[in-house]
Amino acid sequence: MGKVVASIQPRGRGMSGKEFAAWWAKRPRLGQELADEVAQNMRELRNASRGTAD
Amino acid sequence: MELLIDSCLLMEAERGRFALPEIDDKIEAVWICDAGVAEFLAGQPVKDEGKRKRWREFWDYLSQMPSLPLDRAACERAGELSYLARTKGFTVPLGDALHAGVADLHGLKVATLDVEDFKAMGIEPMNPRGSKHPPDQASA
Repeated sequence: MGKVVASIQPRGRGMSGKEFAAWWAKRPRLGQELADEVAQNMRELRNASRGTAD
Repeated sequence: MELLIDSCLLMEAERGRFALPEIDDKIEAVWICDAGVAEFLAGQPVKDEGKRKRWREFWDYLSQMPSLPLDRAACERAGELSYLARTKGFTVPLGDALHAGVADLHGLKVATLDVEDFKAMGIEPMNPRGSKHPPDQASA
């Protein structure tokens, strides 16, 4: 698998609501099919650790 | 109020299920956490290189979001909250528990669709779909 390069993340301060809204609006879009696929992958991985308590 | 956005919720917003910025008008600070970072990376497409390229462009942008760390304190809190849910008969996904641990440690409100999981851990979350749209835990 190729290396995934992440940006340096600012940890000192969260985005304000307005900053987040503006930033989110400018994101590159996955497109419907890929967004559906990734969401499904993430949901399956999370649900993999769901179970029934004793 | 400061908000921790569940990674799965962000992807549901990317799917166009709701307009995410609408929830942020009165929010002082918005965060993701490192549990979400791991979930994003784990969920990337596997087979199609074209899809992976598009996903990487998306992730390079998304990774600019401020992310709270999964340190020892956060993991211990996550474990305690997950145990609390088990005492009530629920086994919550680890991803939910880690988000809950970080949020509880830092005093953040969690924005999520997995409402019942967080309630089982004693966390009252925000559901951006609102009460008219119940959580859809099993759906894609």
